[in-house]
Amino acid sequence: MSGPVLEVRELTVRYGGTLGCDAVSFDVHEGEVLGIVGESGSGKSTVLGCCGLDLHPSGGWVRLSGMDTAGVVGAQRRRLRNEGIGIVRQAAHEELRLEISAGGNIVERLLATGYRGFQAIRDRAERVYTEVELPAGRMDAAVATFSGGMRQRVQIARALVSEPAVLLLDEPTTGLDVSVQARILDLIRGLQRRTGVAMVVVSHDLAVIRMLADQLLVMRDGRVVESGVTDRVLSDPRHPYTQLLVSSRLEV
Amino acid sequence: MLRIRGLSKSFTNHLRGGDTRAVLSQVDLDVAAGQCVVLTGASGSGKSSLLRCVYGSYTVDAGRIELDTPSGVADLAAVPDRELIRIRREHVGMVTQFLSVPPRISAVDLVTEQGVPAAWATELLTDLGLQPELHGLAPATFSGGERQLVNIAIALARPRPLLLLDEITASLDHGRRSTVLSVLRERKESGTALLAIFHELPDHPGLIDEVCQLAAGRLKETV
Repeated sequence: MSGPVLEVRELTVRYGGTLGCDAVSFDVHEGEVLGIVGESGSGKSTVLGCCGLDLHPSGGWVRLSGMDTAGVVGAQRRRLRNEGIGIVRQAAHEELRLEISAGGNIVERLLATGYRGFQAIRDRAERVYTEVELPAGRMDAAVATFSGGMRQRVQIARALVSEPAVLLLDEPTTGLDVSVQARILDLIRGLQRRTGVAMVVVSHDLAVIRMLADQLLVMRDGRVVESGVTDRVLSDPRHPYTQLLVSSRLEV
Repeated sequence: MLRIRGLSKSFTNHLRGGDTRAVLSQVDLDVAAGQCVVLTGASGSGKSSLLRCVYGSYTVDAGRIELDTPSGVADLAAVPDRELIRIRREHVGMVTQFLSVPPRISAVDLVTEQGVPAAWATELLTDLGLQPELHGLAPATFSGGERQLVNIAIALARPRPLLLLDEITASLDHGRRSTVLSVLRERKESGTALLAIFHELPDHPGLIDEVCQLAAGRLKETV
């Protein structure tokens, strides 16, 4: 087995006097999906922010494909972010430019990772556009005209087009209609299985985590209170907070 | 194949003031390759908990769960998470009464996801008695019994040497039940170890080798 593509050790982030996350450690290998659950303010987005190179740790480190990300700054950091990491956020407008076309959003990322040649780029973007099952003929339409579910698909296409080592998903289906949510989850699950891309999924929805993640971290007040194989943590929760979380789930 | 020694498991409910309930106490049990051991006992006697401990869905308080694998003996009560995931993929399959996969993916795709060719998946689904016209459809539209056949096919897709079966025939009608039990018997005869719970002890010649009774989390005499 090769080494982890994402290594997080003793990760600590302080926002002034408040603690964003405290001594969080985990590894994600190729083909694995790690879930992070916890209520808002638990630090899960802070951890994801450090993995996505948006935030700088106050302590500890993040390694991407064996490379320490702490010293990587400026253009090099942007390049690492474009090549090594794909990000899908709850709010599509944070990752996409809504006024430009779906194809443009996808191509933009390819250009940022150093792809050249109009036809090669267009072909590749088209392939990924089709792979995320977006409607044919809408590739040149502005993302602003797309529905919420379609915007998530554009985000996924943009994130995966450069074949990153790690895909980070921050509440990827939150706020979508239930039926749209299910189809986006199926797409993510299918793409993960086909490509073997390592993923970190942050969600407050245990059903999303159960479907996607093989391993799970439960966070509270910036700390990991419980971790393990997903079905073990969810069927035999040991920490009082995890027990509360699992018992609070509304069964459908 | 599987040796369980001194297995104990309890649950501590922190939402009820840390009250602790023992579900398994000092269980010793062996299952050999090519053997089918059935657990019986009243509801709440710990049958399902025992299967879940073996599969790693429950952590255990004490004891060892030794599984023979080509790379040596693994103690399922103590293996690291990543190793447990690998062992499940290669060596241990579990089937329950509940569809544990997205119901929107076609039956044949759910089976091939286990890493087997489509032709193989089709053959397995056919052997288990799922009508060919359903293979390409998603289980969301299936009856309870048809879904259950998909569940079983997923667990049987890879030749896993140990199968844990928790009331897998409960939702099947008589004819389907007999088909599934025949497939299980064939697997057993070719060396698969089975540890099973049945709602009603099936009268299927050549399937069951040993019946162990659990009462209040303890194993009683072997029948």
